[in-house]
Amino acid sequence: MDSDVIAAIATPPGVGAVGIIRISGKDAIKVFGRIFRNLPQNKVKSHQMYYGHIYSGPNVNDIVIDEVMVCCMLSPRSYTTEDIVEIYAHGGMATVHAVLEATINNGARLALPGEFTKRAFFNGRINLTQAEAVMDLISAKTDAARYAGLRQLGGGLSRRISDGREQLLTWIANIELSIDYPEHEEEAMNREAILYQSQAWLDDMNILLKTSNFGRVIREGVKTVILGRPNVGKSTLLNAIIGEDRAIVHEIPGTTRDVLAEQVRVGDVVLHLMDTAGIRDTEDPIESIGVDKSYKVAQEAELILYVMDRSAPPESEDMKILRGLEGKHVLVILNKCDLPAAAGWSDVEFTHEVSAYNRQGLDSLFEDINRKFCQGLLSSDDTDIITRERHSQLLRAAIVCVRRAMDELRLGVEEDLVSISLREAYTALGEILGLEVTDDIVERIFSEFCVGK
Amino acid sequence: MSKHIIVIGGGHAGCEAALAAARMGCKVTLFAMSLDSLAMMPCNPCIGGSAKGHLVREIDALGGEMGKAIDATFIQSRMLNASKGPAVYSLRAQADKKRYMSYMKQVLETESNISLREAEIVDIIVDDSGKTGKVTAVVTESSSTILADAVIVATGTYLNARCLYGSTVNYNGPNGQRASKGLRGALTRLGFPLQRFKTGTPARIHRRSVDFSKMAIQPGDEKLVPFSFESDPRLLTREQIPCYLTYTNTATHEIIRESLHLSSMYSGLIDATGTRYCPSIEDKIVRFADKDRHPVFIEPEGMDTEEMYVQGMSSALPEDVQIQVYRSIGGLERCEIMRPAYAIEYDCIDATQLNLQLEAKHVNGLYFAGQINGSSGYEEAAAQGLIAGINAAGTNLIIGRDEGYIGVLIDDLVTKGTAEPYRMMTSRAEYRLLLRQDNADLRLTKKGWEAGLIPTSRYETLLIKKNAIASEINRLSKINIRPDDVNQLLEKRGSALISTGCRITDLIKRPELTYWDVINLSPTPEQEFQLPEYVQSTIDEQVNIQIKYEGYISTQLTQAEAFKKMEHKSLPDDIDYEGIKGLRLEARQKLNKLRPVNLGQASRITGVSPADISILLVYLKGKFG
Repeated sequence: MDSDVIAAIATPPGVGAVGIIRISGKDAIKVFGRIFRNLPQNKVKSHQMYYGHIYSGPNVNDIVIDEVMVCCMLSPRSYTTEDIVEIYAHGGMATVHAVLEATINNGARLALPGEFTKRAFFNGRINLTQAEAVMDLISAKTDAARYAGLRQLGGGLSRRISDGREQLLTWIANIELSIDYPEHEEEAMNREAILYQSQAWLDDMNILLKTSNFGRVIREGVKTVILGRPNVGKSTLLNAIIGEDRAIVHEIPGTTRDVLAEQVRVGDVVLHLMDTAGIRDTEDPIESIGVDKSYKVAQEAELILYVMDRSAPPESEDMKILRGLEGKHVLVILNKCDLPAAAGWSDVEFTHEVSAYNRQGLDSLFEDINRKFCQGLLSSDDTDIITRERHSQLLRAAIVCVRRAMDELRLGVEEDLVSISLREAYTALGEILGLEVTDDIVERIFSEFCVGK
Repeated sequence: MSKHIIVIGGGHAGCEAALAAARMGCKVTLFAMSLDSLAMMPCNPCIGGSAKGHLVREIDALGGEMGKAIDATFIQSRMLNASKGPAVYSLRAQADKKRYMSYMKQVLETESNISLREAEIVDIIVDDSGKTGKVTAVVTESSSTILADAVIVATGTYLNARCLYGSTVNYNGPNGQRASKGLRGALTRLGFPLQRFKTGTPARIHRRSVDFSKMAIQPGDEKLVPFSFESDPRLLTREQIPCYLTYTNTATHEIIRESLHLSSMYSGLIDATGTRYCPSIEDKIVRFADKDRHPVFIEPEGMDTEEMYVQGMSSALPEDVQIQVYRSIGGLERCEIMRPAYAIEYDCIDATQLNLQLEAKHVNGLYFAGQINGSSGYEEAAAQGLIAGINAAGTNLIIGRDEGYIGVLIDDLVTKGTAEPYRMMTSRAEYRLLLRQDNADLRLTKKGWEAGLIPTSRYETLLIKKNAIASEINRLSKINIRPDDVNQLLEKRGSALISTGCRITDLIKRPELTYWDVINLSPTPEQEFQLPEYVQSTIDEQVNIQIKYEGYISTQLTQAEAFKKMEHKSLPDDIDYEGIKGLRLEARQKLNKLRPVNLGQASRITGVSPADISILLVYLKGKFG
């Protein structure tokens, strides 16, 4: 029996206090060690809890995904009789999902329906009567999953994957035509034509990978900038969000001279918060560098929290800056609402009123951020989430294969081998759509080309 | 006492089946309706081509005859796809049809265990007293009953055949041969529902009536590569006859379009399932209306005849229209049609009723091979004949999909069945980088030897060859080349220069270089192997390919390993799939009907999903531990 490392979410779908991710396999501990630093690799104690953080990977710049408790059950004293790691993460679906994805990016693969129980059975842990229940489980889950693939991919998304796959099939059929019917070679697309088309394909699939990959928001976080003129309370807001005194808060305008970065979890989203020096025309050379940097950071940010001081009258400079931010995700925050409002604010459009100082109004701000970045992510159907993870994995694999095929085409590697790379990509995209390969290539050759004796 | 095996039909399947069984020590009687038509090529005058060439080399590697026959009788030989990758190099040869037939007939005649008999077989007798039937005898048209331990049905396109063009319908087989009429009833009675397939052939024209100056000439290769691993290429040198290429044009298409209603295929005379693999020119015009030309190849039929085959122009139009159509083509303006093109309809069985040995699942000892199983092509037929012959003779031989095109062919036919004549294509093979035409002997000759078809001396030569390849690869993998010795060559080839020592094998892996480019940079090997010179050159080829494509090959080897795992999980033949909880209805029905022998085969049945396979795994483990 195979004993590669498998992983899955073990708790029922929906939001609970705790979500459990289970990893099983001969190398489960090794895989887990790549995303969890607090495990004594060689002397892990069985059935004992460990505390620590889940990271996105083993490298120093990998980010923290969640704070968790962990229990290892060493072989054979586990459900599958293999080494099992159970991770008790915070219960939001997105968090659990992100932890699962981290295990997959670091060497586990997604478990098939009923696979843990199947392993338990094959390893003699449960008997036949129980195994029959496993078969029910497999068939029930598979029926549900069969439709999940297409359902959860929005219409547009699945169409683009399906188009991308068709494109691959066209290239493959052209190569195969010239191989199986050399006398019709001149009708087939040449290497240059395929190479030319494949660049567009790659661009398209890369965009798709980005947009389809909701997990990315969770994994990498959202680059967030707190912006505003000096002394409107940006640093106070930052501190309020992260809950500790990180930035120097001072009444003298221009206290914050550099960009401060901080990671913070807001509901299901990780924000990479960057406080900036206040934006204003300045002659102080040190501060001036900070202002330039602020503009630059704002351009790279995915979310901008634009802060204004409601206790002072509105400034026309704010409106000028806001206009410069058009097209970005901007939340306009009126701060200092614990103080009496100054005149002139009734005409100003804003999204939130808060008092960073008193931590008032933050909840609604957080909810809004979550809504913005996690839409579609908070589905309560676990098959959706599972397949989605699988999908970005497969899409990534397809892209890798096509890149390889392009290299091969450029280097003059024989068509036969290029076709093998393209077929791998084709199979991967087919798996996303839940389609089997069967005789597609042969069918395509005969539908597209007039060949035969 | 040795087994008596009866082969019905003397085409390419029948010939290989008879020879294999006889060489393995069985007494064989081959019945043909005409002994003048043994190993006939009623359609194109060539053997090999993409994927088909692979089949011929595999047949040879297993001890079959086709490769030797074509080596002896070809009049032109070419290696196709030489620039497209080692897995798809394909050998194709124009045959001298008559000489090919006489060669094969004489081989059959001089094989002491074979009796050739001219007679039509009209019935097959089966003892059905047991749970599974057992074949016992066949009955000839003159009512003689001949006892047999096994019967191989290889009736090709003769079963209930009809040839048609225009409104002309001839109730005969190809080339005016008698059709087989009696066997249809017997097969239906024995539980083989028949389906009707259709194929066709172009006209033959007189050489003197062709203006070759308007066509592109296609000569044979100067460097000859034989089909048989036992043929010495130096002995094959002969005068080669060229083929010619021309094209249809819009005028041709116009004539066809106007007369379409007169074609037997469009007038409703034919309702059999046609093939996309050899469409008639009418089909091409209809299905690809936007194409303004189609290639037409003029190929010689032999040295001793002026007849020429017009590849690409199969048709069922009336004869007078055919003449107009052909004469509209450049170079054929004055062509004389000697035999008109025609379509042919014939009966074939549903091959999913057979096991991987090509034996009927419900009648022991009854084998089927060739076009009766729904395949098309001489090579596909010969391959099946060989496997049926070996198994009928008593050696259980199955070629895996990871071992040969023969395996892919038979597995496809008996596992999936086919709704139209099945042609072998390289795209059908999952592990084609492993199934190259150059290594068919390394893959299969051991099996041929174990079956008793390959003489020990040939097998020993193969073992030495294997050793020599391994030893050379091993030697090269240890040799380092200094920059000074190779940079000049690298620069000339546009390949990146090296600054430190580089393993010679890494140089061979570069797309710009081959083994032959760099081999003189290495010292002469110390070890020498006693091999004929022509075998030596195939060793260099193996070394080059195995080093150059090592990465790709090892990836496919890994995939093939995973594939094999499933092939080794056998399914007992008494499983009641209806009783297995969790299997979907369609899967239950298909599995019960097809009764696959292992999980791998089960997974390839249309309608059986990966989840069904998981359930079968669990079931098997629970039931059988």
